[in-house]
Amino acid sequence: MSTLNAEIRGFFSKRMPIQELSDDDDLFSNGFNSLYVLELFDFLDAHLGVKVEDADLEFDNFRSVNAVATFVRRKRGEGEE
Amino acid sequence: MELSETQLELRNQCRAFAEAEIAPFADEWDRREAMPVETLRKMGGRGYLGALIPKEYGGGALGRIEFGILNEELGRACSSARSLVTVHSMVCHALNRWGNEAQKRQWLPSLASGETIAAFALSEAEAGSDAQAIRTQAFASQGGYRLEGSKRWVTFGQLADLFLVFARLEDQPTAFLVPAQTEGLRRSAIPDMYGLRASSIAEVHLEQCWIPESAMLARPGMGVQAVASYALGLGRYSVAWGCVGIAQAALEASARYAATRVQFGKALAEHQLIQKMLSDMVTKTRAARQLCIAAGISQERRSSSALLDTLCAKYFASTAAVAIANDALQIHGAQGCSGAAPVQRFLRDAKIMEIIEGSSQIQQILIAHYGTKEYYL
Repeated sequence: MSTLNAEIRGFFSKRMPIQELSDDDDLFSNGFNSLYVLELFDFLDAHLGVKVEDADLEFDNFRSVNAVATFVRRKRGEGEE
Repeated sequence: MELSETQLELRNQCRAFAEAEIAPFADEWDRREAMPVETLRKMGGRGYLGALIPKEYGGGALGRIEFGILNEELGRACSSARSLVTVHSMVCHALNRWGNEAQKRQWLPSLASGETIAAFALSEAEAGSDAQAIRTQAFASQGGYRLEGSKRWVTFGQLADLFLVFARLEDQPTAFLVPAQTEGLRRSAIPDMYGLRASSIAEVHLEQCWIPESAMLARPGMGVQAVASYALGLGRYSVAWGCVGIAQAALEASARYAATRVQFGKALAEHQLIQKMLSDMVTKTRAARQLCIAAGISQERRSSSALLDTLCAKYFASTAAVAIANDALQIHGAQGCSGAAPVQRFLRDAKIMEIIEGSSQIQQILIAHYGTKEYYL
């Protein structure tokens, strides 16, 4: 379990209506809405140093904790763990 | 929290302008259902319309608290004037966040100066709080897009030079920047509004309205999720501060009236039931302002509580403004119900604030959904 995943899960766990969130759970079908999308973008920028650009606006980049982690690594130019 | 010297100076400057150029005319504008374009240009000249735009595009790059102070002072004078700053800033904010460099260079400098007035065209007859339900369509056409549909309740839509329009492109909500002079764009005034009557509310009709490909803001499908939500987040904050302005104005008017109006041989302010109303007004006004300041600080710090703080500020400030303006009318009695005093305008404007940029019920739903989790985990 990576630190990055834990950080991202920490963000979602404070916002999602479900108690237990796995890294592959579909966030959008579990109450993650547009308000939180913008908070997520702000979180990624302010805390993980990744600015979400127009070209990044694909739902699949933000569909799960694992998807967000993969997105962050790609933006940072890092490989998969 | 106390304001800094710089913030106090900004407040004094905004107040001086609003008291000279806006407040003395607000009731007349309310009756005429329009503000003079000259006043809008003066607001632009003061930098109020480019308050949040980065300096590289000619804006003022104000901080969130400073932007809030501007909204309070304009709202204290005239909510319609404040609403121009709100909607114009919402468009600028979204454009600065999601626009490409060419779009920013094309529009932000003239938006910052007020040469271009922007309006936010999201709502429709069947799409209010449920923004995803928009029916306006965008079709790929001749290397660009053709817009078909109608938008409602567009603040300053009668005067705007540029509209941020939301339409479905292949069923995906998408945002477009549409100049007012575009062929096929027609607007009509919506008269006799209950409040914010001078904010030139319009219906915008789009018929065979062709725009180039470069007019799309952000990619298809992100119109509501990213662009509108981003704009509305700022709108919610701006409106919350505007409510503090209404509350402050209603409180000041009531305190003055209660001190001078004599009934049963003593000033109204010496009657305990009037004191009860005044004390509630003072408390709610101060509480609303502190919630707005807290929201502004959270936003500037990019705190994890920024969304919740802003929701709470908007919900509390708008309901407080209605209660305070209602008490102000009660204290003024028949005088307040007449056109001779602005308090009836304060009450009508305050009620609108409970509806726009997310109704009180939407705020409550979101606060219940988002704000309670930390208390049961």
